[in-house]
Amino acid sequence: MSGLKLCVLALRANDLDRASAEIGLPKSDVKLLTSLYGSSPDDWKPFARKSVGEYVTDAGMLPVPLTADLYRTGDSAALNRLVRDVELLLIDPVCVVAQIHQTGVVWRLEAVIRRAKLSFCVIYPPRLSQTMKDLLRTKCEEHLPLLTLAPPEEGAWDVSSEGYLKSFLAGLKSRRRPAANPSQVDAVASLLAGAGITSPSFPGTPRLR
Amino acid sequence: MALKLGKAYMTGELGLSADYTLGLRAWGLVLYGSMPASLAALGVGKLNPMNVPSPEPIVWVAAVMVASIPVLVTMLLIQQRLNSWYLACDHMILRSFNVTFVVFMAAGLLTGAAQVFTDGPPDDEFVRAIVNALLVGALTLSVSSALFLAAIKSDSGLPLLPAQSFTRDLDEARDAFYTIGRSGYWRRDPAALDQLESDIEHAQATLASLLRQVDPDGARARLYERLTQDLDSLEYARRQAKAAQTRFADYLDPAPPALSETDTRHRSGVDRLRAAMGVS
Repeated sequence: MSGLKLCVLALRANDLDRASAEIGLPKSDVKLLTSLYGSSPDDWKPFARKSVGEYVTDAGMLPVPLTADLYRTGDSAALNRLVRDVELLLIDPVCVVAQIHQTGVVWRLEAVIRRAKLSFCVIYPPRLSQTMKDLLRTKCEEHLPLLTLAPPEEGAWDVSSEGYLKSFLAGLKSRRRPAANPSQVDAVASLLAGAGITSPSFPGTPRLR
Repeated sequence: MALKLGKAYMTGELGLSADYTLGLRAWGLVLYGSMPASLAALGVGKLNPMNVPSPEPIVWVAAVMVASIPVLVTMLLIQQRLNSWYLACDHMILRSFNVTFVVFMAAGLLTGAAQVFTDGPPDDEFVRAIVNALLVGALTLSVSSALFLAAIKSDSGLPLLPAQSFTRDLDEARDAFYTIGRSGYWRRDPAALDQLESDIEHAQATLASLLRQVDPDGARARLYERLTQDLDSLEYARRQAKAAQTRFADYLDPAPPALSETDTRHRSGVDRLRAAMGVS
């Protein structure tokens, strides 16, 4: 199982009061969100069933959470390591809009994700009121302008169901497979041609067994 | 760097604590220690009664001095044997003392019984008779019984004592934990991660072999299972560090911030192992 280094930009349970005051969340939404957070952002259960890491495990990848580095305040090396190593950014719009983390940190993550064509995913709790969801979406796009430019295969802006998250992670896993080496493909093709197979086709990625 | 289980593994395990403090699995030695007195009572051998003149304090002191050498030698030999019969070194001295005391008292008791059996009940000087029996019992421990010496000098595999295969596996498990405790992982050396994987596998295989040799519902089985689970946690931490070196800090720093439930659970296991192996 390959390791996927991920960073989760989500609230912790004790950040919720501050976030709800910052955004003006209605009580019904606060009540809904309370059950989704734990003592760490990595414990975030966007659909109330499994933590984000468990979805990554289910997709056949080993989650390697780097989120703790966000909280090593005063350790710039830790933040540099995080920015250098991260492969997937999972975003809780409530956390971004409430500006729980320093703006500079979020910008650096946003820039590296976009520049290195890494993956990101903005996940909305499914039963959030539509008004709040629209507000979060608009504000989130304002806070993460670079990510709005990313093509759909790199990032998903509106993940609001488990099925969508699973298919996004499945796509991410398939993209992480090593690409076929063109020179190896040519060498195999010439070998096959020598054996009388003139038009070999490789519907999938060729792999050595 | 011997393995020391401590409270992390002992708390709530009365059977395990009793075994580690009283040396319960070594009590078969009582049988072998009492054999000479028993045989003498049945006329196979002969016990030479010592002549204790009177039960005065100076005589008690002299008796203790006379008996102390064989008892001490016996205790050292028992301690050496217990080292290989137990996985960890918790309560080692207390355990050796307790086993020696039980064996010594049993030998003395049977010696007294043998003397009563052969010579009839003592006159009116019971104290002198008891001291005499204890002294002779202590002497028989280290000089009279080849069987007892065989039991405590080497891994003899005698009945009622731990089997040779069991002690062999215990030796291997101790070695495996020693190797893991010296791994470069604890110094955050990425080059040590591959070797650590095979060391963990070896330790778990040895624990699995030990598990097959003990009562599956017993305290020892639960101990080996917990150690196996904690090794799983160490393997998880190793894989995390292999994927990203920043993850060393989450498992080895004194107070890592914002750890997830999964990481916290695995870190507890790693911390328990680390304390047991004496890794600083």
